[in-house]
Amino acid sequence: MSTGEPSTRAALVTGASGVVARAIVARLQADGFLVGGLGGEDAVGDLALAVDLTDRGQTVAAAERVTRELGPISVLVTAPALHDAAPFGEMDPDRWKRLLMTHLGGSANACAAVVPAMVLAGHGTVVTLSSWMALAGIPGEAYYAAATGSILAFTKSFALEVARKGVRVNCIAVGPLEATPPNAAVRPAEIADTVAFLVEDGDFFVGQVLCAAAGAVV
Amino acid sequence: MGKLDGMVCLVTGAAQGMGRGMVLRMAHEGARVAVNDVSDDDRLKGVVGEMGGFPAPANIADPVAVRRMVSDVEASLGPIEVLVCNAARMTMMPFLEEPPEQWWEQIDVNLTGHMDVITAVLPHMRRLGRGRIVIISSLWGPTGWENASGYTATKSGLISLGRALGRELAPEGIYVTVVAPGITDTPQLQVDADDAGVTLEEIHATYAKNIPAGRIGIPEDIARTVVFLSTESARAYVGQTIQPNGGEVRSSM
Repeated sequence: MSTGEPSTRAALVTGASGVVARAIVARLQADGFLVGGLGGEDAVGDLALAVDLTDRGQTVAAAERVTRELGPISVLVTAPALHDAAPFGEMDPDRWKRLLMTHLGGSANACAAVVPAMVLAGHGTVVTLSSWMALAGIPGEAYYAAATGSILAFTKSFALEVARKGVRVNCIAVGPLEATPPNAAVRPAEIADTVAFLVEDGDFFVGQVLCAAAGAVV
Repeated sequence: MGKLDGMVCLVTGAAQGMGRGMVLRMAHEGARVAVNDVSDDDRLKGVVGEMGGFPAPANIADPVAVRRMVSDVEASLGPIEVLVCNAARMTMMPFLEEPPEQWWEQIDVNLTGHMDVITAVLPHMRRLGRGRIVIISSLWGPTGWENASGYTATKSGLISLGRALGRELAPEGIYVTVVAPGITDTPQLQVDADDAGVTLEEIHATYAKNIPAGRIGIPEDIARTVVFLSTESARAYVGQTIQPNGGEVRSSM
C-alpha cells in the first residue's frame, strides 16, 4: 500500500555473505533497491564493505558510507552468519562472547547505525533474522539458541520503541537449510520472499516473529 | 502478472469486512475466486459483481450445504487450490449468562463448520498433490477475552487445528497456515461501538491507542497477508500463525 512503500530505494543487509543473505540481497535488487552489503571480504551488494559488525563504530561508519553512496536506507536486514555449538558448559568464554556479539551485538549495532535516520524520515522497515533453534530447543545447541533467541526479545522490545515513529521491526526465525527429507528444509528464496512481503505488504506487522522453518518447529 | 494468476480460491464469510477485502485482493492478483457467505443476498451479489467471482452461498454450519457448495465451485471453476477459512460468528456475553445454544452456534460455524469445509476440499487438493489452506483466527485467539469465551475458544482452537493439519498435510504438498488479525476496520467495529455506547470514531481511537503501530488495521492489511500465504513461499510456514496486529500482541502461540 502507498503508506508502506519505501520512498527511497536503498537497503542495507548485514552478514551479506551467507547463503540466505545473498538471496535477500538478490531479491531486494530485483525489487529495485540499491543494496549495501556489510560482512566479510566476500560480502555482496551494490556496495559491499568488509566490516567487523561486532564493532559499533565500524558499523555506524559503514552505514553512513552506504547512505552517502546509495541514498537514505529504508530497509535494513540483519543476517548474522555464524554457527557454533558445544554441550552446555563446554564452550570457553571467548567463543561464547564471539557468538553472542555476532548475533545480538551485530543485530543491535546495525539497528543503532541505521534506525535513527529512519526515525527522522518517519518510515523504515527492519527485519532481523534469528533461528528456528531459538524456538525449538535443541540438545547441544544451548549457546546458539541463547545467542539467536536474544534477538527475538530484542526485536519485540525495540519494535515497540520505534513503531509509532513509522519504523516497523520484525523477525524471521530461519529454519534448517538442510534436512532429510530435502522437502523439510527451508529455501533461501522463501526467506527472501518473506523479507519482500514484510517490506511491501507488511505495514501492520510490528514486533512479530515469523517462523519460516518448513515444519522443523511447529 | 498477478501473484495468484489463474488459481482457484474459495473464501468463506466473504460478503463483507475482511473476507470481502481478501476476495477483492485475490481477484486483483489474478485468482478465480468463489465467494461464500451464509445467504445469496445483495452484499454477496455486490462482491461477486465487483470482481467477477463465483457466488457460493451456504451456511457452513450445515455439512450437507457445505458439500454441495464445494462441489458446485469445483464443477464451475475446477479443483480448489486455496481455501481461506474466514467465516465467523461472534456474540459477546458473560459465559454464565450466555444461552448454551448461542454459545455453541459459534463453535458450530467457526470451528466445526470449517472442519467440514476443509474435509470437503481436501480430496481434490490431495489428487492435485498441492494446496493452501489459510485459516483466519483472531488477536483474541492467543489472548482470550472477557465476554467472548465461545468466540475465543474457536479462535484458539483454529490455531491448534492449523498447527495439527499443517504437520499432517505438509508431506502431501498441502500447506496450512493461520492468520490472527488484530483490530481491523470492519462492520464489526460499529457493533462494538454500539455495545460501548460510543461513536465509531471514538471506538477507532480507543482501539488505536492500544496498538503500537498507532492505527487499527484495514482489510487490505489482512488480505495481503492471505495472498502471501497463498503463494509458493507459504511452504516455509507449516502450521504457523502469522499475526498482522500492529504489534498489539507479540507472543507466539
